[in-house]
Amino acid sequence: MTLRKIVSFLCLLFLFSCLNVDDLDFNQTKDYSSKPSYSFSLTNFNIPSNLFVAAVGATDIRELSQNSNLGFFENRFIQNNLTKVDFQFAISNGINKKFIVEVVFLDGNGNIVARLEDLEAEANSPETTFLRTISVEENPAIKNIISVTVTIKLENTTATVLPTDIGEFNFKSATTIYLDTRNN
Amino acid sequence: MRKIVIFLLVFITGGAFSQNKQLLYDFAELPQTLLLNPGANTSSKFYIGMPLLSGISFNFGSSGFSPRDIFEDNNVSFNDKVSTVLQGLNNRDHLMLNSQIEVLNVGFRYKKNTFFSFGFYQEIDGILYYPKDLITLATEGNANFLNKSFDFSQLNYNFDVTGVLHFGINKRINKKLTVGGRFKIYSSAANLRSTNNSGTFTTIEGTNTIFTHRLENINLAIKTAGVIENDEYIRTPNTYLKNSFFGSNLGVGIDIGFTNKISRQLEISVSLLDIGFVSYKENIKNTTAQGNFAFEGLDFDFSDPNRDYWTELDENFRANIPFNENDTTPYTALRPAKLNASLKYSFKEVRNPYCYNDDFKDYYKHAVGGQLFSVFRPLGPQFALTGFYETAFTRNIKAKVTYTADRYSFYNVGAATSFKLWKINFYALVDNILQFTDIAATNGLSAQLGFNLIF
Repeated sequence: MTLRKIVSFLCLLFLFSCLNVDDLDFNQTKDYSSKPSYSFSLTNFNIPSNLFVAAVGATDIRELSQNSNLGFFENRFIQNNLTKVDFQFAISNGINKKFIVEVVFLDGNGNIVARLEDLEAEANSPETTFLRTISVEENPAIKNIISVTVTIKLENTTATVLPTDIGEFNFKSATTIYLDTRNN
Repeated sequence: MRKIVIFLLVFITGGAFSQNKQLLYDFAELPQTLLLNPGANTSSKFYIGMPLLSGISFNFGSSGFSPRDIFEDNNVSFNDKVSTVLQGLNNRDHLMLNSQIEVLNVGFRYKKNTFFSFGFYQEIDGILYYPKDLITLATEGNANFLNKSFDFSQLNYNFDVTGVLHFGINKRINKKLTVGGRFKIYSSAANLRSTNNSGTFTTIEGTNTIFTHRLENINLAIKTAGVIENDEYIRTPNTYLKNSFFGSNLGVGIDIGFTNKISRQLEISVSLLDIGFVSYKENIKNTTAQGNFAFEGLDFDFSDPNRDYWTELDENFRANIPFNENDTTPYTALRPAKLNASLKYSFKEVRNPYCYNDDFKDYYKHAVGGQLFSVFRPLGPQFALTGFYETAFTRNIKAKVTYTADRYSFYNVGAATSFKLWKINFYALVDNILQFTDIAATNGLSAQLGFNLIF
C-alpha cells in the first residue's frame, strides 16, 4: 500500500513530461511593427503690418522669410521609419492685403526637397485652417529634411502694405509624423 | 566504489531554488529549509552540499499575460495580439525572475541544541513593472492622446546579480521553541535600477498655438553599478563572477526566525529574510533628469533673420530639464525582504517502540497547514497564500502537496518529495503542476531538485 502511494505520487510529480509548447510560434516577432504618430507644434509668429512698411527711401517690402533647423528630422530612427508627414496650419490675416505663405523644406545642402502647396490668406480674414500631407512613397527625399523656410509674401507683387493698413498676420503650425517600424 | 559514488554525490546538490519556496519551506527538515527559516527544526548532526552544474533552477512570474497570449500560432496577427496584451496591462503588472545557485552549504551540530550553518550562493533577482504609458507613447505616439498625461513614475525596475556569504545559528531554547538567525554579506556584481521616478508628458490644444506640450515635475533616475566602466559596458563574464565574491559593492543583511510548538501537534513558524542593504560605490553610472518644460513651437522673429531657433530650443530645454548622463553618485538600495509564516497541525503519531533508543524520535505521519509568503518590491509587498498537506510514507520518504494563490495564478498546485537512502538525501519539487500540460499559458513556473549528504 505504501509502495503504491509512492508510485502514484511520483507519477504526479513527473507530470511535466506532458509539457506542450508545440503550438507556439516565436518567429512571429519578426512580423511585429508599430505605427506610432507624433504631433507637435512647429512654428508660430505674429507679424504686425508695420514690418511690411519700408522706411522712407528704402526698398519696398513685399515678403518676409525665416528659416529654422528641424532637428527631429535628423534623428536616424525617424529617418528610417518615416512614412508620412501632415502639416496643420491656422492663419488669420488682419491686414488689408492678401498674402501667400510659402513653406519649403531643405536638405543639408540647402536644396529644396519638398514644397507645400501655397497657403492663401485673404485680406482681413479670420482664422482659416489648412492641411498639407507629404508621403515618403511619393517623395522619398523628405527623409533628408534638415530645415524649413517660411515665406510670407503679398499676392499682388506690385502692391505694398501702407502705413494705414494696420493689423496683424497670425500664423500657427504643427506637424504629425507617422512612422512604421516595419520599414526598419 | 561506494566512497567514489558518495564523493560524486557530494558535488551534486540541490542548492538552487526559487523565490516563493512554499514547497521547500519547513519540509522534511531538509538543510535548505534553514535558508528559509533560520529557526526551523533540524535534527541532523552534519550536512554538506556542493555546486550543481545541472541543478540550476529558475523561477519566473509574469502578471498580465502569458507566452500563449502573444505567441500562440493562430490566425490572429501578431500586432493585434501585442496590442490586446498592452491594452489589458495595468501599472502593477510586472515580469519577475529569480534564480539562486548554491555554491557551498555546510551545517553542523554543536553540542545538542545548537546548530551552525554557513555557505555561499549566487542570486539573480529582477523585477520589471510594465510602464504602460511609456510603452503606449513608444508604440502609438501622442497624436491620438490629446490631454492624456503619460506618467513617468510607471518606470520601475530593479535587477541584481549578487553573491551572498552567510553564517547562521539555530538554537533550540526548549522543547517548544527554536530560534535562529543568519548573517549575510552581499557582494553585488551588477545592479540596474530605476525607481521612485515622477513626472508627466502632456499634449493639449494651445491657446495661441495649435498644441502645447508640457513636461511637468520630471524627476528621473536610471542607476547602474558594476555594469559600466570608463563609459564602456563590461563584457567579460569573469569580472561579474569576481565581483560576486567580495567586490566593491557590498552590503549586509540578516535573516531571523523561530518555530514554536503551541501544543504537541500545533506549530507556528515565522521568518524574516534579507533584511539588509547594499551600498553601490564602484563603476557607478547614473542618468538623471529633473525639471519642467513647456513647448509651443518655434517662435519666429522676423525682425532678426539670424536667429538659430533650434539651438535656442535645445539650450532652453537643457536649462529647464538638466540632463546628466555622467552622474557617479553612490547609492544604497534595500534588499527585497521576505516574510514567511506558517501554521502546521500534525496528526497520526508514529511511536518509537524502543523507548531506550534515542536515535529515532517519535514523529507524526501527516500534517496540514497554511503558509503566508510576502516579498517587498518597489511598488509594495506581493503576497502568496498556500495551503499544504504533508505525509511521511516512511521515516525516510516524505511528500508535500501545496495549493498556492498569488498574483500569477489562482490554481498553482505543487508537489515535493524527499528520499533518504543511508546518508544520501534526494529531493524534488515541482510547482504549477496543472499548467505543465499547457506551459505556454502559465504565468509562473518553477522546478528544482537536489542532493544532500546528511549525517
